[in-house]
Amino acid sequence: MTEENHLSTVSDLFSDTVAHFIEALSEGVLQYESKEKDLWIRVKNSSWAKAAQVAKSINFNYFCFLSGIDWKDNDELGSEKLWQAPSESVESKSSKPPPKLVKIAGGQSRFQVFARLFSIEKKLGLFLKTDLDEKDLVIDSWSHIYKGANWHERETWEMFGFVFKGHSDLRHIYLPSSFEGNPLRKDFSLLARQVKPWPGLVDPEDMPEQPEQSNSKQSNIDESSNNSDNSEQS
Amino acid sequence: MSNPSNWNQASYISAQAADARINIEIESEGTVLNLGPQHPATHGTLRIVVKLEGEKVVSADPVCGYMHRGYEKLTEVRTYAQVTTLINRIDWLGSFANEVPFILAAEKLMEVEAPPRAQWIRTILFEMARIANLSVFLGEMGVQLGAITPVFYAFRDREFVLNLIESATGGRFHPNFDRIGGLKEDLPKGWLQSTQQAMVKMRHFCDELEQMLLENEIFQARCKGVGVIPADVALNYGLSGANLRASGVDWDIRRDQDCALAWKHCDWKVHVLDEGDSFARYKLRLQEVRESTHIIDQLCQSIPSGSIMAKVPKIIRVPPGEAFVNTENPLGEMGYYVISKGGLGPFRTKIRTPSFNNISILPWLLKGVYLPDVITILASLYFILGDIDR
Amino acid sequence: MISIAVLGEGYLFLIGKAILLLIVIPAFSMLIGYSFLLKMMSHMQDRLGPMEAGPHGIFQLLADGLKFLQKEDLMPNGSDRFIFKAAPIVMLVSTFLLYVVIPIGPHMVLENLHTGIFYVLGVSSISVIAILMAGWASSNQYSLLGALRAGGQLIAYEIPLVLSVVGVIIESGTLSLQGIVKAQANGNLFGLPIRNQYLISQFIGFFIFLISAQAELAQTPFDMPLAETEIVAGYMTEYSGFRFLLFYLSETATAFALSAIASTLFLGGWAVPFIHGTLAQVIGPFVLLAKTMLIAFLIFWFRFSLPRFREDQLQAFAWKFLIPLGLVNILITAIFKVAL
Repeated sequence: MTEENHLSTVSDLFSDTVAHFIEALSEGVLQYESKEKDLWIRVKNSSWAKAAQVAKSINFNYFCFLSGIDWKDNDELGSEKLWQAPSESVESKSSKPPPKLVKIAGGQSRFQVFARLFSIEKKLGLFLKTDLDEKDLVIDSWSHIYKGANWHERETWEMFGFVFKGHSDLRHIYLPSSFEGNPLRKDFSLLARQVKPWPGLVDPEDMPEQPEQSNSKQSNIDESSNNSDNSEQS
Repeated sequence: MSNPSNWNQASYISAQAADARINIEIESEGTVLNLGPQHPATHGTLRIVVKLEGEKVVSADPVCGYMHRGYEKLTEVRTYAQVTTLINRIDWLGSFANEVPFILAAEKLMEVEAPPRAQWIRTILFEMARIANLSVFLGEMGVQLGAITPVFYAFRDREFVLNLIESATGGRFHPNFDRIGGLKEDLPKGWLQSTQQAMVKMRHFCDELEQMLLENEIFQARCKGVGVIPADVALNYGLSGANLRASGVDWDIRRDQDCALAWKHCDWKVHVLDEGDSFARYKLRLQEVRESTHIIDQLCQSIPSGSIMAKVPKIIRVPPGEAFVNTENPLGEMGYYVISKGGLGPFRTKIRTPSFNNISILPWLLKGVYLPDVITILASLYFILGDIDR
Repeated sequence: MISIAVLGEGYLFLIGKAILLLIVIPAFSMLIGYSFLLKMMSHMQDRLGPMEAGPHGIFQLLADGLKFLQKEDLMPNGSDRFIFKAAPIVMLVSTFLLYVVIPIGPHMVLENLHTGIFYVLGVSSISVIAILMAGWASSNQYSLLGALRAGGQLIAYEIPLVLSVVGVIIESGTLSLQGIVKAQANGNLFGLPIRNQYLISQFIGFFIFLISAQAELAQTPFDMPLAETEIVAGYMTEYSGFRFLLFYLSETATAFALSAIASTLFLGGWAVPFIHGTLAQVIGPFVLLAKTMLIAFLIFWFRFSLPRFREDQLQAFAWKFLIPLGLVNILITAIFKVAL
């Protein structure tokens, strides 16, 4: 895509901001997209720290949060997979077009780091995203640019195992220091759910008019949430 | 669980080294105080490793996570309706305010909008949650500074608001009242009148505390000039809410960001103070409670009639997409970044809680103050443990 | 001077005095505790307080005391056991000794020392030794910090306390407490027959004495040694059960004793103007009790309504304000004494 194409996808509110980023990072800006008063920019991994400096220089001085995403669909999770979209066979009646791209401003790898900054003066939000190489989960630290990023990077390191280069104090924040594993990765299964599925999804008794369907988890889920909805409204 | 790569190993080593650093501090000269995890001033299980020279703080290192419940992970194994039960427990003093941004984010993804009456009721309950939350702060700040009486007044008058929340939602602390597309139920009969009466009482409570605590010379001597946060530092650390406005940054999400809720329909004022000290934070929150009562009064008068539930399917499936919605919660900016893949529950929820950022400034702020000021600063930053640890 | 006549003389007399004190101290301590710490505090805070034990909850403190007696005698690891055990007793002894010289009637005083007020100021500072002992022996940072704060605070506030009393001594011309009461009962102000005049002529002294007593007792605007939101419970952090009860007892009993001394020095003690002889003997104790409760009410009123000072603010207040004021008061009193 050319720069002109890019610029047309963002609202007028952000044309200056995007121009700034492209000027400073040139190749570093991969994709961007705006929605209402928020702008998403995906930058190259190597431009991550630079992007923060650019954002700060154009008055995005309020640090909101920084975290990570694991885009993996883990088929082994069994009853944990509530987020999964229903397959066509179950939801055949829906006539809607297939869902559009999930990732705003895109992404290629399994892991992404994203952060939100805000400009108090312009009252505009900015999301920065970057992809991480699964083999080498290293990214520059923001902790010397935005002080608030310090704890968020510690949390992200702990939850996802991303290493923030240049962070002076990368140690556990929530979990005990002997904790192993990265809980927010999709392959980190909840132990309790392996032993027993989440009781909120299991019907105490089957619906009277429906025959027992022990194999189809999906339809079980539907019934149970249907039930809970009914009970809440009555 | 995961096969640690080289980088993982390196990071574990750095974690061990960092832990060892704390241990060295404990053994070194000077007093090391463990404020917490069980300490009267942290009102929860926050631990602050404070290194003292006499009574002067040399370094302070907050250690959180004693109450970490892993909500971000748990939301991934819950349906949307079940998530609200969880997130009610984040800021447990103003629970309703936690539900709203999540529900708004889900509604944004589903492109559903609740009917006006539901938005009005949401706003009223949101502001009530603010009053219920901040009135605890107003009393508790006194307790932290040794004045034990205000907190009893706060809990006495907070009851008016809690009773109203209970009569409307059925839950005093954790209403779990918000639904995607509207609300669980309509308001009970006569509720709006009793709300307006209660708001008069809350304004009286504010006057009372203003005379008792805010105008007290000892209180002023303890708070003025203590824990000063300049505006640029506050922004850099991501402080929000009253902590930010007390540092002179004029930013309130209720006013400055487009929101489906009914704030834009009433006439109210965002208070900003320039001092940035503990006293300014207290004064600001007192004014905010007062402002909230005025907002509720106006909303009670202008509330539209109609349905309280938009048309949503019985089984809620949120279409794929990402949405971030933040609101001005009692403690500051609370936001939910919800990623959906089209299932019954969110694929990933990043919960941006205000207290986590608000107390991340502590190592910087506590350096060089006296031990009693540590308590003043902790109290005036006003955090809730569930809001830090999630 | 004859003391309480019914008790007789000599060895038995001494034992009788000691037993009397052992009854009187817990009794007054409970009176203060019940009326101020439980009921006044509750009503000021718009709540009822304990109501179940006895009518209007009057046996609550008794129940609390019994509860403390039943508790396990805990001692922290690494504490200095002997000193840890001794500290509450030293504390109680300091309270004990205060009661010895307070006159409650024209002929009713346990020991009418000629240097009574000097003695009071002396023994009241023994408590700081007990606090330092408790703080050090607990082997706990909070306790140590609390004890050091208490040490600094008591030293700072002993001085204004002494200075405030000096004015009274100059005006009355005696160090005996009984003498001070009599000087007030027969006193006059600028030649006018106004009795109990020290409240007016020594008003500054009274003011300083009240503030210093508040600090000496570690009550709220000056309760840094115990500040529960900062250092948990200060030197009392590690104490529980019976030993805590002793600290608690001596805290309230000292509050009562200092109130009694303040009312003796500035409000005329047991004396009521124009009442003499047997009648004064009978109503004297009640008059003193009423005045004492009034001063104790003031102490606890301040305690429940004010926030706490910071340690350095407290020191500054003592050294930069109270001590100069006390010196000025002495100067003025001396000038009047010489001039009139």
